[in-house]
Amino acid sequence: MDFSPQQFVLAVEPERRGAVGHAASVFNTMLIRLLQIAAGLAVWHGLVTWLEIDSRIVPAPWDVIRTLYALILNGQMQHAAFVTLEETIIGFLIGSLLGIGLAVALSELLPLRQLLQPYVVAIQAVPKVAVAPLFLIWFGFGIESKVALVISIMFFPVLVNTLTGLDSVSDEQLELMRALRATRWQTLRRVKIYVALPYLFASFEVCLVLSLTAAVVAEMLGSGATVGLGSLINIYSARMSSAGVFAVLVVLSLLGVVLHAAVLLAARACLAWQQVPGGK
Amino acid sequence: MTTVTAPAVASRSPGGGDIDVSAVTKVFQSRDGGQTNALANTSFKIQPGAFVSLVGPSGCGKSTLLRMIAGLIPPTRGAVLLGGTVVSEPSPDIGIAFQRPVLLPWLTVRGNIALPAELDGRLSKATIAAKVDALLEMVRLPGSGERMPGELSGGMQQRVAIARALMSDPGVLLMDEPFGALDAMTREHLNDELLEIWARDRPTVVFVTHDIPEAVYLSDRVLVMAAHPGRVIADIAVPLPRPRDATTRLHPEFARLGAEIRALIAH
Repeated sequence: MDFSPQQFVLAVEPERRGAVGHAASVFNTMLIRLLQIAAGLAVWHGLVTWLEIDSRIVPAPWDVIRTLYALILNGQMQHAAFVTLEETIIGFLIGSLLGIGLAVALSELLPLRQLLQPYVVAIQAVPKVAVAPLFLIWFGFGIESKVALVISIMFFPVLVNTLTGLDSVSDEQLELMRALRATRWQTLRRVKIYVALPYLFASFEVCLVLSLTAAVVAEMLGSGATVGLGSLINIYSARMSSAGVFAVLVVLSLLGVVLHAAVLLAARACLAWQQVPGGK
Repeated sequence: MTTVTAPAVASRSPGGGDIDVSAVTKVFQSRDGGQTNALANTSFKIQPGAFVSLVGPSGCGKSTLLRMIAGLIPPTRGAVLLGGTVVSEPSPDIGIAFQRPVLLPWLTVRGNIALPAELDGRLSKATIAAKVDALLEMVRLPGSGERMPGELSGGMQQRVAIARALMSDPGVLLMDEPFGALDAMTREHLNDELLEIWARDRPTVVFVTHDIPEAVYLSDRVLVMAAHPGRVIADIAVPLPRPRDATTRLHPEFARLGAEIRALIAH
């Protein structure tokens, strides 16, 4: 029998029709996820004990859970997670707003675009992490240098995507707005912004998790009084405590998943009209 | 000919609605430096309240002509006058429906129809809502106001586009092959609905089509156009009685006019 990938997917995918069927399939999916996690932990534990791996190199799952629990009990983990999340979100907001703002300016003012295009291309090509030490020199060891790196990570993808989105407005839509004697501002606010929205969310989806990475990297490069998750990783790796590092990684992965889900939810709410058949 | 003014269009500016295309030429510059004569020295007048169709092969400049009347593109030479004033930009007295509905997919049907008034910003929310309700009724979509454009069939979308064009109570309604993409049944329905709307408010209608029977069925006059260069080669009066219905198509004059126009285009 021929098992093309598509048939395989169809065979695995639960039946999706009907509200009852839907609820049941959600429950099934959750159950499968939990079993997957449990199986993963079991395999991890088995490998570590069977191969007699030193817990300073790869800790057993139980060690990680215990360390995580202890760090949560004394409040250190929540505090560090809060610091990192704060840097990520502030940087995300500022970087996005700057990117959107410049995209609108470049799309509305052609001379400005021609003037700035080469700079945008050149600066965009610089690996942002390489600039992080400069940010430390400029903004110090506090939260500012971390936020700066997050902004630099967010800014260009948001700028480029929003600009592409604004450019993708159709001639028909522009002609309609012209026939209706819309002002430039009205055309921007009532048409172009909506056309650009899917592009903007695509850049959010990619970059929000990247900006979490940026915050952690910036913390690892140097932080003073503020202790974020990246600083915790530094502390535990200096102590050769793999369990501590793993505990931080678990929290980071959770944060990443939550941030990604938040973007997807926001996109679904803002782009509901796209889900309509034929709406594009 | 006098304009029959229904109460609904009392806001129309006096004298509006008559169109004077005066020695209009449109030359398009192509990128390789060549020139296309989209329209050469074309003149005609349209009385207020008349229903006039432009028919002709593709490339005869009928859409270009419509866009110049709409004030969307300027003529290279000559002028278009609307109610005695030169058209230099889109006018609030003109409603336009394009070949595709061009509805904004993120707005409801109601939002799309209200768009011209919202952009204009002079009417109150309540007035706009009442007008949208009346227009939904008129284009036979009552109760569809809260639906999204993507949920509608092609015919329904084009009805919404027509309602949007009528939102500003225009004295002139310009239509660029609005039913070209629809199936024959839907098209005949919409033709009758359009005639009903026209009979009620009597705007001046300029209707571009490549469908000869459609042009004859709808119009008082059919302007036949030819390409290379684009120009009007004949001005055919359609004396068929109104209101028009299924029996109109059986009228011997209907067939004769269709044949006459077809012969003109074939030449």
